Amino acid sequence: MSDLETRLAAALHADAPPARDVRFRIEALVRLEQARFRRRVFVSVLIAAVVAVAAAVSGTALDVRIADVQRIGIVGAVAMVALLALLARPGGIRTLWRAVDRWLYS
Amino acid sequence: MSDDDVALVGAIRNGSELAFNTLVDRHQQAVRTFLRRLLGNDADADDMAQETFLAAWTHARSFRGEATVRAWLCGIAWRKAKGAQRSWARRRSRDTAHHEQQAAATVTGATIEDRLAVRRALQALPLEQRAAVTLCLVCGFSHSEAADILGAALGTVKSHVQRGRERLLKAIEGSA
Repeated sequence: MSDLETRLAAALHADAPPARDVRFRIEALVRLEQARFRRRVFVSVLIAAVVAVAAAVSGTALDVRIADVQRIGIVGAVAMVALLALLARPGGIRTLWRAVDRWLYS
Repeated sequence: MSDDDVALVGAIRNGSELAFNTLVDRHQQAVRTFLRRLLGNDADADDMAQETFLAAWTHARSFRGEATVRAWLCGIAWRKAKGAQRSWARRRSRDTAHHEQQAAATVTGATIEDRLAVRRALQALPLEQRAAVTLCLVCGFSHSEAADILGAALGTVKSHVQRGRERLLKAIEGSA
């Protein structure tokens, strides 16, 4: 290796980050936690919105003889099952969910 | 390819934070070095490196084991850098003087003149050429690995590395 090549190699490898960097690792973990928190909040809000919409739509269609508590329970359970079924279904909804997930982590 | 690395990505797919920790620890130097040379700004590069590891967490399922984990991570970093090129290029032109001063202040084996000359020459190279030079001459990837990471033809990468290296050598020669 010529002198110029040796100098080039030394200059290219100068100022490299350390092999172990605890601060960087912690910062990356903090970002991950923030993204996961955003995701959890988003999922909670989404579920709440679905349940609210389902309750509003189907509440009027249910028999008025069913007690209010029972009605909310039934509508909530149906909405949850519908949401879980949609998320588990391969294809459209799942792809959409992944896209939202990526956006939340970006 | 390290089986250990593949197992790590598998564990990340299952949501293991410990595996994520180990992955960051093991590959942060390579990813950060690549991005620092590519972007010419250490703070932006470290920020993008963190985004790269976050994307690796989210896209762990996209790792098929065809390349090494390090190459896969550098591929993610490359796509991120390319995608955000306009914003960091604008910032870089504004902060160049400051970063050159910062680089000169760090004590390493190479002389300050050589490091500044190489830094300037590297930043003057077109983005893809700079990336190819960094991957092959700094990060130690082979030409074919660099071609996979950059999504470019092998011949193109070889020519990028050769031309880039010549320009860097000329810059070193001129700095003496």
